[in-house]
Amino acid sequence: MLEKAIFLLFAVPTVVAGVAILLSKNIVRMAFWLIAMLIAVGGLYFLMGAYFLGVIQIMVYVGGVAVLLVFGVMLTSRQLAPKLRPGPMETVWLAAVSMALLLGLVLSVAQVRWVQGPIASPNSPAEIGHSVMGDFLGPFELASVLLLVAMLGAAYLARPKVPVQSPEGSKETTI
Amino acid sequence: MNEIERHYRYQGDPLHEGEVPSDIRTEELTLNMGPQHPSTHGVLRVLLQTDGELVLKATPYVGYLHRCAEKMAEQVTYRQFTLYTDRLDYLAAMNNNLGFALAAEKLGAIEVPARAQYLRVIFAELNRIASHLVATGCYGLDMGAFTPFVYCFREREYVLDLFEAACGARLTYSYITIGGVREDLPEGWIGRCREFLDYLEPKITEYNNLLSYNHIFINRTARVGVCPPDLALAYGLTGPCLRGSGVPWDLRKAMPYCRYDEFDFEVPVGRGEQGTVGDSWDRYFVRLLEMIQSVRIIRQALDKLADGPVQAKVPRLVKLPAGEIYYEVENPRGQLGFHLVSEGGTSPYRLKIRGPSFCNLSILPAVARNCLLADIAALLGSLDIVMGEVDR
Amino acid sequence: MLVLERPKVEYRGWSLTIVRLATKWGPWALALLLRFAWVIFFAVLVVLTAFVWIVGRFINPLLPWFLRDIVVVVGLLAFACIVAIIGIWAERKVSARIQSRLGPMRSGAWHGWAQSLADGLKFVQKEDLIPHSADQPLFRLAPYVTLVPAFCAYLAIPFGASWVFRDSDVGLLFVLALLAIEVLGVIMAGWASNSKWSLYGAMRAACQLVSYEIPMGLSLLVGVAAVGSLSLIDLGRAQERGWFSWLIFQDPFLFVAFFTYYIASLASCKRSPFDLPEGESELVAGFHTEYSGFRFVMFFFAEYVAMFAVSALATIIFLGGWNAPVAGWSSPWWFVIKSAFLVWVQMWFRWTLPRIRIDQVMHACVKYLLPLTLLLFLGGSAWQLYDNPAHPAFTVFANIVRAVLGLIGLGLVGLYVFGAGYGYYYRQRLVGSMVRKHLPGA
Repeated sequence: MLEKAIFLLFAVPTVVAGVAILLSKNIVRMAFWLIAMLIAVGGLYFLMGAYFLGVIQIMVYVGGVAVLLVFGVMLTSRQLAPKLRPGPMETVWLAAVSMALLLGLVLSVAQVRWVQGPIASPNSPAEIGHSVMGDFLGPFELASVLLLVAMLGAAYLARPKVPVQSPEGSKETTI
Repeated sequence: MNEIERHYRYQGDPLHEGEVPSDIRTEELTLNMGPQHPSTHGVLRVLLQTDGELVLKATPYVGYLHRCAEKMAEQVTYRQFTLYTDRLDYLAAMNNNLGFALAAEKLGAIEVPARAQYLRVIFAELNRIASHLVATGCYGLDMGAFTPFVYCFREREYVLDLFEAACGARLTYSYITIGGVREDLPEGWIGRCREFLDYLEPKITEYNNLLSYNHIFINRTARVGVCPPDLALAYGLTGPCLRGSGVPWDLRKAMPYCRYDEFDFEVPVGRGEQGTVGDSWDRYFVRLLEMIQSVRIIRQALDKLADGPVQAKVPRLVKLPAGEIYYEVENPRGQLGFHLVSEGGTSPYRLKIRGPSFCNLSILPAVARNCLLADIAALLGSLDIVMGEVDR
Repeated sequence: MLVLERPKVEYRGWSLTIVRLATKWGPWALALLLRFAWVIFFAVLVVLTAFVWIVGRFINPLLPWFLRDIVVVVGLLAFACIVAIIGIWAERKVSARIQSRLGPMRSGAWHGWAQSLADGLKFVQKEDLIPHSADQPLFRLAPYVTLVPAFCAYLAIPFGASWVFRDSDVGLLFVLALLAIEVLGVIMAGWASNSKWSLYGAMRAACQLVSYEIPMGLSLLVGVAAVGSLSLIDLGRAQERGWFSWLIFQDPFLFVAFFTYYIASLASCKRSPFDLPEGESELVAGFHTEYSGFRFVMFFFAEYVAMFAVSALATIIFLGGWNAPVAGWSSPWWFVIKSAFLVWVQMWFRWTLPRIRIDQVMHACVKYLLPLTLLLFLGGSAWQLYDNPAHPAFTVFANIVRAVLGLIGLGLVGLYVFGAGYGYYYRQRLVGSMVRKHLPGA
């Protein structure tokens, strides 16, 4: 009973925020709705007893990714909002693509054989650590290489454009 | 060409005339710093064109405190105008009084008694100390250090107490008038003054440890807002701002008035100790050093003080002969000039005031380019402007 | 003829009605409450005990735990409020003493202790202003998003070995995650205010807080690697054997990590010298420029609540938590005293140091703090590999290092006590006593 209520407490905001992302016209509002959704999903993880996952969800997605997202979005001009209205052709395209995606999602969800009751999966930080450094070392390292590449790309994109007199005098840096 | 660019064209900035950045622009923000802003030291408005934290251009807009001081001078008598000079640079009212009195005396060929001369020096230098204390403290505040500000104001209170004892006022003194000073010192004033000087000297050096040689402070001010000597001269900088750029020009040495030639003191200049010559740190430090020199001067003047009259025989209603005079004195903020045109009446035909803060401020657009937002505060604070004098 | 009419002020919302009623009847109610406080206290205790017993015995054996949770949460909320109220008062007194002033002296009988309460009352009564062009919902929401996570962080912070609301095996990360949410509120406030100064504050906050989260977390991980648990209770329990068992003295990496953590925590609390998001000489008041009244108080509260929270983390992970310097004397008071001391040091910094510039903040993080903490993490982990019975020679060396570090810590404390005593003893004649380097000409 209580568990169901708390589940709804997190699940309903997840869905509502997800829909709100789509419906809101202001790009910054969208970002904040996204954050609300991420927090609610973190709450669901907590409810399922996956504390580590929940905490990491909040720390990485909300504290890191979402903040940077808002940071980027915040600096865009406010006049951008009307441009986010898709044209008629675009609407058709987008509808087709998203319907296909939805169909795929529904099919895959329908095919999963759901386990009832608790399952034995790594849960504590120690167990997760062991499995990441053991069974899943390959994917883990691959992911880190991917992130490194992304970071280098970001650094390249943000390379100096306007030379600025740095406090050190002769050296040139950008802010 | 957008609003801001038109604005710049209209302003006719001589350094960057007609210059439009050709690079692809990211979103730029026009930021109105002032007229109400904590670090513009009054009602100065600086229009900033920023790209993120980077300030591309800064243009000062003045006039929010304009009170027609020069026009008022044409309506009042010479003695009455002394009171208006208090309101120019309200942190150094004694020096303003002195400048106007000297200009009027020069035009009227009024001889000032020796005691009054020394008293003038004492009070001008005390006020210089008070003014520099405010500049130092507020500069700390601009950098985010609250405590030096309170310390400096505590020390300044002692100076104000001394002034209050001598003339009854704490901010607008009108003490130095045409022909001398208004009244003689009260009982025991000299002793109190010496006590204060003994107290102040170690205090000034204490600010060194708190602020001047603070690593963060140096990083914030050294190599920031650099005014090279030639640029400083080109923009007519005077006072600590010019000396901070390494130009040893001080009217008290170069064209002594008020018997300044009798005193033994040095003209501190910026040597680029922490960065380059003419950076904000140099301007700040020159002020500290000048306080030390002022203490030296006051000590000597107190020794030389002999009994005698403090007022020349000047009629109550001063009439100056027809003529024209331009006289400059070394104010805490630079050279304060009075261009006095008399037709022989009881009030000037025209009075033009050269405010040092106004000229010092004019260098802002030339220096505050491609710097950070926080550097604007560092630069403005080190220029040490007083809006009462900029706008007059 | 020009007639100046008094503008009609329209007060919005029910909050003001409550305030009006509270200011009218509040004092009477408070007086009545205080008069019979002990009766009420015991009555509530008896009723609560009976209720819990009945519920547990006859209705549902799990419900008492739920009730216990509610009581503890309310207690933690009260504690956080008291921390903020005392913190704000202390900040003013500390700043006053540093600046040779007295600070608040009137409110309350003793040294203006009630100043924060009086200010709170004043702020509650202020009109709730929202700028016309602000993003209203976000503007209203932002203070809560800042304050609530800071409060929630206390749920996982243990005050003693058994004085904790919930001990989770990820307690440390939980606190860090909640402190990370706090950033959002600041950004939200800055953006929703629709003021350029606020926007700058928000940008700076985002830059600074996200960057310093990494060295902050890494420094804490050095301690975690030494103990092998993310549970704050386990971390505290590992330091039960007195001064020399505190984690900060366990190895040189932890010793340095404490200081890197402390610097990063200053940045994450937006405290001086990292107070750029609200640096008033540059940004007027930064992200809360447009806030007034009680919403502003919420930001203020959040700052002090978070200050205590980060200090509490430092205390638990490096300074022995609730354990006394002598083994066996542990008590929640030790925890509170140590955390309060760290909060005081934060205040000390604020009233001494100038503000860093934003590029210097980022340079300090990316060029110095981040590589340093990475090295510390590496070194701390390597130390754990060798500091075990399998390497007896290294263990001897490690013990010597521990003793030396402990003595250094004792020396630091002694230096502080001596300095404070010297300052107190000579407080009347400190003129020029700080002079080390004289100006030329003096």
